[in-house]
Amino acid sequence: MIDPSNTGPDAARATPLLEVRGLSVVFDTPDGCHRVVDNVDLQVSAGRTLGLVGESGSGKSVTCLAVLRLLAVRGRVTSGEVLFQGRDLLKVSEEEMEALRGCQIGMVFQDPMVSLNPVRTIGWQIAESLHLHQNLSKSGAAKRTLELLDLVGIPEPKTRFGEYPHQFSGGMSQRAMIAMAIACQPKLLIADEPTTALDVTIQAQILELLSDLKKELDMALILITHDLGVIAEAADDVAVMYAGRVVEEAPVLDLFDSPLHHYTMGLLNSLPRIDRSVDRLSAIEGAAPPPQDFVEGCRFEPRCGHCDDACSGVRPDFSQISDTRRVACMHPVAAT
Amino acid sequence: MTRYVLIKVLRSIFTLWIVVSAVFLVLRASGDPLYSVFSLGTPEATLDVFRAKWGIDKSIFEQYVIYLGDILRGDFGTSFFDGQSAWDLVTERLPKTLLLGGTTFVISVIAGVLLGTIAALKRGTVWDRGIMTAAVASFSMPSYFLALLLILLFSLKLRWLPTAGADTWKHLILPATTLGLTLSGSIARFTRSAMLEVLRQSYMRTARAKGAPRWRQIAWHALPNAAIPTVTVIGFQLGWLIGGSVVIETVFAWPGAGRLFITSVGVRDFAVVQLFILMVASTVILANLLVDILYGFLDPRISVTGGGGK
Repeated sequence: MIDPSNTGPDAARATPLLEVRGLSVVFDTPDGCHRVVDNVDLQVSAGRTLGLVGESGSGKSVTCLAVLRLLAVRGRVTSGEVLFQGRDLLKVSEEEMEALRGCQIGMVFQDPMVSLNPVRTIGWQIAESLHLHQNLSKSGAAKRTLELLDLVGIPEPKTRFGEYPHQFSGGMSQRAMIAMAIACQPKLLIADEPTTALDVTIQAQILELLSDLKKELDMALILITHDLGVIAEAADDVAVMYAGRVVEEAPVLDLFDSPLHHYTMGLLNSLPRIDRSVDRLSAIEGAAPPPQDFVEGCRFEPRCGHCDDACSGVRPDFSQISDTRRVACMHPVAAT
Repeated sequence: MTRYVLIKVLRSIFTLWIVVSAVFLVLRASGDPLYSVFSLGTPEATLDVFRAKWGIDKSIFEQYVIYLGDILRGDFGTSFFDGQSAWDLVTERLPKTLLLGGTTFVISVIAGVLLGTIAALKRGTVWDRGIMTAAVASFSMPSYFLALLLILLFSLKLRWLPTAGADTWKHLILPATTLGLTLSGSIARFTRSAMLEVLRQSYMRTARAKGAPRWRQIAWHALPNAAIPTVTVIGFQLGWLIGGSVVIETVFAWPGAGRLFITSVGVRDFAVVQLFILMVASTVILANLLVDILYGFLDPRISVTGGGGK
């Protein structure tokens, strides 16, 4: 399931393709502004998959939308840097950003059925990416589109080319979305819950496709999900987000073997596992706070069974456990 | 496909039959045309001669059967007053009406869609509020009142434009503006709400994530989707446009079929009124048919060939 050769410390130490530093995003609402992403650091290198895991509302999607500068009007970045190949994306012009989107950085969204334009053919929508970023003739773009459809495993590309999204199943739509996102062979692919809207059997196929493409095109992949199963299957490194903050970062094997944050621990304990026999799955008490209830101190404190006075009031700093592991907790789980 | 067309055609014929019958009945219930032509005191014997000549001496049922038979043969009757065929009278004035209506329609659709799109894109700004205020004002104001305001300003005060007639392009400006303001106002409102709906769809974010520039997102992704509900509304507005032009032709003394219609109603000129309404009904039905066909082109989810409806 997990390829151990891929998780060595050397790979992670390479210069990251994308480095997010201290990113904060606030949403302006009628009852004040909420900081939904709070000082987030992330990094991902070519050929690696970063799994970004967290509950709904933990800020994982917003972080990635902010990277591509695709936030809705009421969301804005208040601080931080998004370094892509050394360039701060938050500082480049909108025109430069347009040239990057879909070309150097591709994005796949959660619900493929509504993320495709209903009045345009699949072929048109994929060819549009090529048309926007590559100097291809019309027939050249059509030929390349057919290759892409074939690459993402859509049978009978010639027929499918002229069909509309409503004629596609969910899985096929997501394949088409992926074809669109990788059309220009991006260096970075961000997949925002790419399998959430799909059947379980289709989920596995899509994850496999993403992994294959990542290897084939030597991309960096950011995989956003709330599903630890998906993380275990596809990620090399994991960043766990809770209430707008990253609370733990680790290579995937280490994370599953010995989680350091009590939240990660809770998540893993709530998961049915073959290698541990449990009669009853444990759940984390309480619910993740909405942005208006975010506190300054450790945000997991209200639900944590291992906290003391030190936990509230001050944001816990990251402790660097090893080259590749860090955790933001005053009393991390003792490593076993 | 054939079945679909056949049903449409049959339904259209049925609608036309209802319209024709209703107009026939209402006209004959609304008074004797003889009294609007002859002065009081004309001897009954004279009136009877004309009654026989115009075919209104028979029972209403006989008249109805004869009338339907005539229509089917393409004979739309003769005007009571100048003895010309109703067909000639109406078609002679039709080009002027089409000129006014066509100009208004084309300009209104362009202006309405453009302004509605701008309002949607600049939602909540001065642009949006300005355009929407103007739109509501223009279509809530009765067109004849708007006409009078425009005449006061541009004809009486500024003396730029003529108030009546149809000799030059200058004559076209005021009536077309009056009609067009109302029409583009409602089209702008519908386009705006359709656009707002489309702009928040996920596929618009996909287009942005693809690196499509703003204008391309609007023109190639948003507008084709917003066109689907907007076309329906524009189709309905065509019927309104004809009704509105009848009023406006009268206000601006525009020598079109609409003004002929008003005069003919006044004097109970049966044949002319009947033909005019038959034409209006046919136009509206054709427009709706056109909208249905356009749907098939605009929205791939609607399959006309599948024999299903909307």
